[in-house]
Amino acid sequence: MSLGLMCVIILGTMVLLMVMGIEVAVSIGIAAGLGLLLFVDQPLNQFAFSAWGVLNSFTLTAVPLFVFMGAIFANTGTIEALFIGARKLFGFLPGGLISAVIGANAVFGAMSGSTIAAAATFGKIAFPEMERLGYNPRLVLGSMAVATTLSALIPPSIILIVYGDLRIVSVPRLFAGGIVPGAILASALILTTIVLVRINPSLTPGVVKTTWGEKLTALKQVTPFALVILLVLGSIFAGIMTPTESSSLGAFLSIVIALAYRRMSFLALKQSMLTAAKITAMIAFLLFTATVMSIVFHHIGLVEKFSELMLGLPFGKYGIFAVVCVAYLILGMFFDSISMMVLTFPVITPLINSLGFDPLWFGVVYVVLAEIGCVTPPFGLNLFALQSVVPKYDIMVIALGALPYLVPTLLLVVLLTAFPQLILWLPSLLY
Amino acid sequence: MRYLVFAIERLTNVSGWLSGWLVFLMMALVLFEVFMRYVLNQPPMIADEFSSYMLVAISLLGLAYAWKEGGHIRISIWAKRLPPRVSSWLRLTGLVLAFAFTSELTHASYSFIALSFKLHLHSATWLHFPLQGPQMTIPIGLGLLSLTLLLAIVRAIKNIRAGVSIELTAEEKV
Repeated sequence: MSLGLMCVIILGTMVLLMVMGIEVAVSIGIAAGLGLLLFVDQPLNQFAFSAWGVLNSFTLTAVPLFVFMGAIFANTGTIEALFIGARKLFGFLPGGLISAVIGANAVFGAMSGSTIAAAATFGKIAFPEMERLGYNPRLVLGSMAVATTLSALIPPSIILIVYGDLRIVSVPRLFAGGIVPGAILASALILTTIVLVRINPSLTPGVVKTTWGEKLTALKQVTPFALVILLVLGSIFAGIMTPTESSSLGAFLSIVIALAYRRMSFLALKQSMLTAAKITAMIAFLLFTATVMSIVFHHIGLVEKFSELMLGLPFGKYGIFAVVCVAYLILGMFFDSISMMVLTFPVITPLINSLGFDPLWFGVVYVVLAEIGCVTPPFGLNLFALQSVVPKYDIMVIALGALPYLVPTLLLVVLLTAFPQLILWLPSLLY
Repeated sequence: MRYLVFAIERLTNVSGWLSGWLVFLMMALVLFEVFMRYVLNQPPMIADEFSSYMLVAISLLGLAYAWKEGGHIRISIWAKRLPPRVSSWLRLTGLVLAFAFTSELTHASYSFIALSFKLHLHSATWLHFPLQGPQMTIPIGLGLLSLTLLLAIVRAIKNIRAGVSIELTAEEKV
């Protein structure tokens, strides 16, 4: 059977099942199982081997622990103190509360790594207050949707952990690589807010003036979170702890902080544990079904053929990379970042290697590209997460509000491609 | 029938709970290792291996619970645009396919376990830990997911017969 026909059968089945609304992991699994039986001549117990092989990994053990940590902060409501602190610190800027949410997202990103948790949390905590004060809902929701991408970029990041495990790239190095782009993006999003508010001052109420005393109090409110970040990331970058060990420390500290704020309850602990279990199971199901799909792709020769085809394009190295970027932006409209990663990497990574791009650099750029997809309809995961906490606003309102913030995000991809050192400098300095 | 439904519901919740507590236990185990290494200078060197086994268990035992809570990602945007009756039948077809897939995987994973028992597989570390225990969570988790799907199918058929749209009633709520 020709490669084309085999691809049509496997990929066609997968796409058809996804369009039918079947869960992505199951759709990948059924298509992979079909490929395994028809073209690879292997039994289905390959799935069990893959589940064991992929999940029996110390690198991935950081995933449930970082999710648990973020869930504790979100479920106990301690993150509210962070928002109140950020509000006082950023209040002097035009559109101050929006900048506060962006800043708080950057800090939450440095503690959690889960964009969905960030979207749901800030939508719940910050939005009602901002709406009450007269902020433009579209602008606020749009900025929140894009700002949550900081959680994926600023370490610790769940996507970077999965990427590191899939591509055998050092997770601490990946984490270090995400810091500078994360800081650039956070600053660019705040700058975008300032520009938008300067152009149209009616988008937000006036600037809230805070005294130095209030700013000092705000600093005190932010300090416990800063300490957690310092201990979690510091221990990784100093080589004292592995990401898994630091995630355990972070989860433990999140419980301590929640206890200190008198917000800890058994219900919040239970919800956080269940959230961690649920998200881990979701990622794991995707990972092991996609691993079998990858075996099928390799066996039928799709990986080699795809690389050959792409390398034959007359666009040069950066032209081909631009095609990959556009493909990811389109795919991102329909897939979440982890599904897209596990699904495309078997064919994309050999191409990226052949083009001579650094895998560490590509990992960080991929996160930015994939997160853009999370705020573009029809299937923007962050849009849905936000809308679930502000149901009176339509997805399109949030998506339209996110549009101006996507400009600096796309520019960041261009910047990172033009100056790869923005990603590679810090890892090379630390390691 | 009612007892069977009750049993499956309980099993799904218990496995979700177990999976959640394993996350907590994993945190405690890794912290214990760090404490022993840096404070008492006597690292037991067990956390790496056992936390990996725990991850397998968390993932597999959490599968059915995640399904019940709608935690597995799906793209329902097109299905939702269809007339309710059509989308209900489409969802039912999807559930049947998912059940067929996961029950076949459950069956296939038993041969994986059987091989592991036959070869008396142990870990390659100093612990020389028998792998059958953590590996057993694979068929258990997949089996439980199949049961959850079976229940979802039964509920979906009931809803379709009653003329209620499945998408609107979140039929996976076990």
